[in-house]
Amino acid sequence: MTRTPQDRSEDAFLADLFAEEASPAPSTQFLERVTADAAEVAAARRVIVAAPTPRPRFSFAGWFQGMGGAVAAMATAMVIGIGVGYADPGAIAGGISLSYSDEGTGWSGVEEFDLDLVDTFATEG
Amino acid sequence: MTPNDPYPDVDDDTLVARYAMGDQSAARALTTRHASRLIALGYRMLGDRAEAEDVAQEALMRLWKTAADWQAGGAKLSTWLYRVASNLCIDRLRRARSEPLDAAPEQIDEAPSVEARLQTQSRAAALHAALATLPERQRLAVSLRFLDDLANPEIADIMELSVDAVESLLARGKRALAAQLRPMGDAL
Repeated sequence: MTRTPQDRSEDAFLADLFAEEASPAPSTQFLERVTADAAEVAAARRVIVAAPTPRPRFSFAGWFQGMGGAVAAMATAMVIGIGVGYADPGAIAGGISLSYSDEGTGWSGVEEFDLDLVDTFATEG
Repeated sequence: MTPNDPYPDVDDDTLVARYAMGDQSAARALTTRHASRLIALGYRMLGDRAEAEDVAQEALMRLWKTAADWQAGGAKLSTWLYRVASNLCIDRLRRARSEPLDAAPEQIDEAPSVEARLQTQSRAAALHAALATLPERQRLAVSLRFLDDLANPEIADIMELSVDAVESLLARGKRALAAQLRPMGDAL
């Protein structure tokens, strides 16, 4: 848009009028209110950041899934043990220690298996 | 730079980041730097000092809440604050218009003519009376133009309009203001 002499004259006239009206300084009460707001918001944010993460809740689905994984692992170990027992009965002296874990349920531990059954198969074989 | 600014060499984005990290002095610095202009804009738009301070406080409150997500290098902070304050002013003007007359506080001042105000009040009062006669978007454009001498592209950014639309609003607003105030030339 081309500025005409009239535009410039209006600008100068109004700039002069507006310039006389200095920006008002904020009142003390205003500054106190704004400072309190800022502190309150910052405090609320600290509470949110510091809040503990919620503990995982028990879930039947997860529990069954974990149990299923553990049972499958146990069965596999037994089959391996039986197989090893057949192949070389002396290779399995005391038993099998099976450790397992399931990230879904956080379930983990160590199981000791008695290998009587394996021994039986092995001696019979 | 604003007088009494405790951190004249620190830019707005850095101050916002410092506030987000828990530095309360950064909030005071940002308030010192921007509050006056927000209050001035509110006063020109609403014509009431207390309402203008409420608008400035609310705009700053939104800044505190946004600080943790503030994108440094993005929008200029002053532009963002003006935009928030402008929208708050327009909301208040529209809400006041939609209030039924019974619910509105009793108006002692029946908006006297510009000439009548001029006889008893200062140039500032006459300017405010003339501004109050402009449609809200013209009033906002003119106020922003003479507040901090903002350029048209920045006003367009604040008002979320095209530069052409701002030029048109400014031309009409300034013409209307000058037409009202010029005849009082000597008195002003």
